[in-house]
Amino acid sequence: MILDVVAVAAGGAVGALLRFAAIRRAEARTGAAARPWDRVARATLGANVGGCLLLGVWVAAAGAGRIAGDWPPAAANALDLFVLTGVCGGWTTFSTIVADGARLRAERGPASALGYAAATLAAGILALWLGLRLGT
Amino acid sequence: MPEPTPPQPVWMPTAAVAAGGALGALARFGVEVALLATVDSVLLAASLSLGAVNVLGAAGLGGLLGWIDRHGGPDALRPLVGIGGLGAFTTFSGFVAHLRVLEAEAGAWATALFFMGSCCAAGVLFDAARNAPADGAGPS
Repeated sequence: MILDVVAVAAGGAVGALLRFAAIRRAEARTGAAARPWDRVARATLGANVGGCLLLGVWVAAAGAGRIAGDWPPAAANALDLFVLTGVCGGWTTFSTIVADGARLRAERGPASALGYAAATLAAGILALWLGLRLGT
Repeated sequence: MPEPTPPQPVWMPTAAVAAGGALGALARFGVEVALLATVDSVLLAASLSLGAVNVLGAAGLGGLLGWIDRHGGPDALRPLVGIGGLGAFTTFSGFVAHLRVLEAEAGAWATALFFMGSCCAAGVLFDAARNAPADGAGPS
């Protein structure tokens, strides 16, 4: 149990740092004054797609017994929690999708916000599908 | 409008994001474990957990951004609570993975409704939390 808690916390920190690095890089590249919605939204979309891809690869490879196949069950379970609940869960985010959507709705209308949410969902499902293929 | 922030050392927001990310992921894990222990159906427990975590986390981000709009607050607040904490408390990969299970059980329309419904509910609460003064100062 304590192992699970440590695994989730460590994974969450790693995942959040990966997402933060993408946001910082996007801000540095485009310049702070240029179109705040676009640069942050692209970084968030990239983080969300990356997390779904990793999740797909991990689920497929672990399901095939190719990761930690001969580990004790408690350790293998903690590793799963580290990668899936921690890293993938912390790398991807939902709150920022909503924040970007709210800004889009205010600036360009509700259709843009719904389109952004639907596009993120489609990209995530595609990344998951690709990851499951790559991991098998 | 947020005023331009002066240059700050890189380690400060980085450490804040890592700490917030650890706590946010742990809180999400806690909600999931608690619901799995109390709700009989695994599918229902997972759906409730993902829906609750994501909608509440988005509403919380609205409240945080509104508070920062009005009061400013320390530089570490947004990296710690917003990007790290609520960013990692909410999840998209878990949502997408869960949609696969839900689609097999309940069909594609249920999954699309679940995601877009969560987005709309979260969007309404986000706006309400961002614009509602938590300190009773009145709308500005």
